[in-house]
Amino acid sequence: MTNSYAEMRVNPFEDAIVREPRDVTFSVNGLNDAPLDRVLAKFAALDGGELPRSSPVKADRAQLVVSPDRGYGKSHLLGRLFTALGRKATKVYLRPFQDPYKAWQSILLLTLQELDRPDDETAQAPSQLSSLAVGTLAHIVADFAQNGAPEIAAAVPALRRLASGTLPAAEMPGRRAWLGALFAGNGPINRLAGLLGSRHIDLHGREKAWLKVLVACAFDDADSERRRAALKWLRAEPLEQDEVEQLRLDQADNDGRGDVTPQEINALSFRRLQGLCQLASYYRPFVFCFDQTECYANDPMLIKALGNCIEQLYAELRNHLTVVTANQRNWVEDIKPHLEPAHRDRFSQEIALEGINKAGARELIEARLRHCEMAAGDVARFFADNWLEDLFSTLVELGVRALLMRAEDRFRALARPDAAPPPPQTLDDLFQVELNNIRAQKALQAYNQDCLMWFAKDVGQAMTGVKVGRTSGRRYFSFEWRWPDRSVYFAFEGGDHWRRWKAIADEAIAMATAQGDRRILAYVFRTPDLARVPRPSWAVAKATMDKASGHGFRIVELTADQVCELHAARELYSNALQGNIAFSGPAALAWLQARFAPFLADIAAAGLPIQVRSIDAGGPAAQQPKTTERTSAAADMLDAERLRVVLDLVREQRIVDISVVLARLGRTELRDPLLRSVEAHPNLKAHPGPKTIFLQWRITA
Amino acid sequence: MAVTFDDLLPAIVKAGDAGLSLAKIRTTFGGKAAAKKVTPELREKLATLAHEGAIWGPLKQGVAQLYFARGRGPSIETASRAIVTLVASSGVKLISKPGLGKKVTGMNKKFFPDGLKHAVSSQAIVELTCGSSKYYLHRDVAAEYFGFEPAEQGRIAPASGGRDVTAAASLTLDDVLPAYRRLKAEQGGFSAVKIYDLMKALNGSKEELHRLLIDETKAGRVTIHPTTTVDLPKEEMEAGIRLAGFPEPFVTVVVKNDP
Repeated sequence: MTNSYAEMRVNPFEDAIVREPRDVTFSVNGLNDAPLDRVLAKFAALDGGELPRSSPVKADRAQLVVSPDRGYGKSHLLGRLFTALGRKATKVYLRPFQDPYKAWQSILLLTLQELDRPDDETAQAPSQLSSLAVGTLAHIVADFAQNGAPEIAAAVPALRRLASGTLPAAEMPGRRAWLGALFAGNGPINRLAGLLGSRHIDLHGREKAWLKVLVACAFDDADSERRRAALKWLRAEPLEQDEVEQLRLDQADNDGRGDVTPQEINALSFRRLQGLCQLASYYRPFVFCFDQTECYANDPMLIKALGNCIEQLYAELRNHLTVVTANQRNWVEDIKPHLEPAHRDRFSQEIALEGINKAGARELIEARLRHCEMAAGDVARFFADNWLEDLFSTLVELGVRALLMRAEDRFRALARPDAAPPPPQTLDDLFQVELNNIRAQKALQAYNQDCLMWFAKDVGQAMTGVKVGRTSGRRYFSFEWRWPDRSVYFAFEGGDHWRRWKAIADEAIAMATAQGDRRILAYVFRTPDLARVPRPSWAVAKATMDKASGHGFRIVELTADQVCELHAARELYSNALQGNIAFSGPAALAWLQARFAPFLADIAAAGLPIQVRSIDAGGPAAQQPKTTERTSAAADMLDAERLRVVLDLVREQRIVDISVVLARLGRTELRDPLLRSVEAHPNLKAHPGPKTIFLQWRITA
Repeated sequence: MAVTFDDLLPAIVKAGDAGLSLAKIRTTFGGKAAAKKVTPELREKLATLAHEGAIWGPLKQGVAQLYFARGRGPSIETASRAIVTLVASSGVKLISKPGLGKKVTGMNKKFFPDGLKHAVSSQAIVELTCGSSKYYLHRDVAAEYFGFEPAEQGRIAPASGGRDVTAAASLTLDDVLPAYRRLKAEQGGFSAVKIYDLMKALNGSKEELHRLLIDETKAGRVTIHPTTTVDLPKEEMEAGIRLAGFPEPFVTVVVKNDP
């Protein structure tokens, strides 16, 4: 008789950590329904009645979801919340920010990265930003038409349906084209901008600019220059003159200046977010979810910044619900004591998570086994010998992760009854799992200044004799590694405005000059998804950057693999801090510091095995941005013929090692396009493991 | 920089419980002829360190011969600990001697017979006989099922349980609730209260509190939760409830439906 447990390549209980709320596809009946209902009830206050709102809705206090222990499902609850809200909300998952002076910039960037994703992964689905823009513009036109002559007012219902996305698919292109044509000139925008006030939306004199930016977001192709400029404006970055002209903005609307303080960047980022939240009156509310809050615990300045953000969210932002998750011990002992007393009141009473009971445990285990197409008899075998009854003999409920860990052991014992228990997972194994997970999800590879800052701050402190800390009085180089005879500075800039880069280079020169004989290096990290700098058209900025390069200024172009490694490192550390793995935060950090020691040494000593960009004219940096900037999702995927090969192979084998698939395709360098295709295909699922990634065939309804 | 014999002891210490193999020692410290044989100088150095008690070995593990620093590496005690853990995690499912022998792996395997005797003689586990077969049960599992106290560290639990029945009857959830509510309020209304804090507030017996909390857990009126952090203060760990099959102590308690 064959042992179907032994035949399974993937232990279905291995995956016990929710890394992304969108990964949540199953939940046990009744488990944590009460906490979820409490959060949903708060959201209902934002969601009542027809859109658009007569005025923006004031925010409630941040909903504090507390776990009595690790593994009770904080992130899982966020996943359920995301699923329950569906298209009723724009859901922003916020990993911890690292710079207390630019918290709003971090939140704004993550919000815009979320908005730039489609609501679902179906082909041709518009981005959420596009839907928000169409919704806003269509409602404004409908507001105008409502008070017009009867023949104009007749268009109102169709416009409202266009705004809400409920228009029949056949009518959609025509209506969108009509709306796009309407906003092609400045005249209608000037007239319609005044209507925002009728719904008590105050965009601080930038109403026309917002509408022009929304027009680009609504009707332009994802890769168009004008839409990219619109996104830059939304990110509070300064625009080049040609971008101002493309968007038809007034000069005064280009308020993201090149040379600014961190406080100014933060303030402008907050205003942009405030604008987006107000415009949600036309579209749908935001839900901001602060997860992994344990990561704030060792930095009182970050905790104070978090408290300040929650206060401002409550007092000054509209049309949103904020959810904060925490482990009780971390919150009560490490975070709450550092919050300003006034800010503590901006959190709700505890919303406590519950453990899973015996019936729920059976349901969860059965679901995971059936997902792997286990036969009923094999499922029954899992529960033989009173295994479940024994587990719940004393406890009525149990943390979900504790259950999954025991189920994992049980599965392994059934698969290999005579085998010794496997050695516990090492930090290297756990790191590889995170790395493979990041590789499998493109959204997790986007530029993230918080990750880079964390790396410089926490991992960097391992080097011998170094003093790591935030700088004071610097505009851009906000972080420093300091030795007695030299320093390495870091700036974190995702934009590509010449004036900003000239200011950064100027600061690098000023720092080097002020340091006299002390040697300095000044780095700015860039990731592959960012536009290349310097642009070929830059003259003044390029001259300054050339000069700065003689003073230790370097632009470090991280490879996609390096980006994945840094993100995986941060996830591993975060998991340790949250108690998700059997290693403490300091132990995980020490391992990461050893793992990245060569990389740190290269940065510290400018040994430069990392690919440091040449900023000479004609160097790789000087290539035309159009060819090097972000490519469309389709171009990152396998072509139809290769995808067919993959589908046939995975369907036949059910679960297959990615190396086998790549061998069938004949090219190992197709790994990333393959993973992008897996991500987008409803029948394929990637299972990241420590050694490899398995691809599984999923039966969909 | 060339390594010297002075580096040998630090290298073995650094190797910790994994030990340092003779082959590795030979290639690192044995000079040019290292690949072939152990030089007399190296052999003498190892013998001296062993004689001084700084290291012990060699322990044969497969083809490897391992040296360990004093107090590191496998021993009767480590084998005993591994056996006790395995028996505890098996709960009321009795585990046979051959079954146990198969599960003790790695370097502890060599010390299995002595480790088993040690575990039984220290009364961490009890040996049960059925025909000619021997089975093992953890004392905490027995304590839980028979209702007597688990033994303190190093102390044997009385066969009758040794619990003061009068006192046992005196501690109820109603007695605990005022202290629980005060502690909950002090931490801002968060419902998971440390068992250690509760024990201090009640100024009573740990065993009594544990008994009550286990009873109430079974009844579904409270929930208990294991530790979140791996570096919890020792006193909180010691005040926690240990349950068979769960490696970490349960250190906090939540009274359900308590406003």
